[in-house]
Amino acid sequence: MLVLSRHRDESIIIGDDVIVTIVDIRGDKVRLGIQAPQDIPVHRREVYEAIQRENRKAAQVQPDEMQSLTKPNKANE
Amino acid sequence: MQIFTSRFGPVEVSADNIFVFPGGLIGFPKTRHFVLLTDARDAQVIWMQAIGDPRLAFAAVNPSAFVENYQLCVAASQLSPLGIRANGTLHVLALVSAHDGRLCMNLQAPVLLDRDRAVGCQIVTSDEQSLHHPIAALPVRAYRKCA
Repeated sequence: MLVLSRHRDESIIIGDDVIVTIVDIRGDKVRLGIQAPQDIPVHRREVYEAIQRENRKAAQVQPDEMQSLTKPNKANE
Repeated sequence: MQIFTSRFGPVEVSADNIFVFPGGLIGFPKTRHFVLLTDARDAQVIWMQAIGDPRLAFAAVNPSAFVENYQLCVAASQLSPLGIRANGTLHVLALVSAHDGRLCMNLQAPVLLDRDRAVGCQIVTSDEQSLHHPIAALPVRAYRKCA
């Protein structure tokens, strides 16, 4: 992994058009400003990975399970 | 054309019913074409069946059917890569998964569809929406299978 040191208000540029700026540093928290083209989605990593896991789980649902929407069952009441 | 699906067998699909997801779904970036099928047993369930992968399909529901006054916060910039107009009519679907014996819908990352242009995308909402919003209990047998 490339590691760079930056001060507040300094930036790095990734490729031609992604700019990451250190906006603020307070204790162990760093605020980043990200300028990227609209077709490049930017997400917090843990949020993105949670949604990835959720989508993989969603891909396992089978039609029989969806029947539970219309047929409430006694076991969970 | 006819496609084969692992859940529904062979399905007849018309080309104008195929939605293009330019960015795929999160975690499935290469799957860009889906056909929307209505569940034969339950009209409130939409299946997003991947074209080209018979085993890949997602069950989805309209969040408004389960959440009163459902609203969605989306930045216009999240829509523009698709050419989806912020003032156009969009349909919202939430993907369904099984968790701890319950069916849950994902409100944090809903799927938006522009039916007129047959394009769609999955977006991450900017407000604090639930990743697992419960919508139904699963039968015990299915619960064991998923546990």
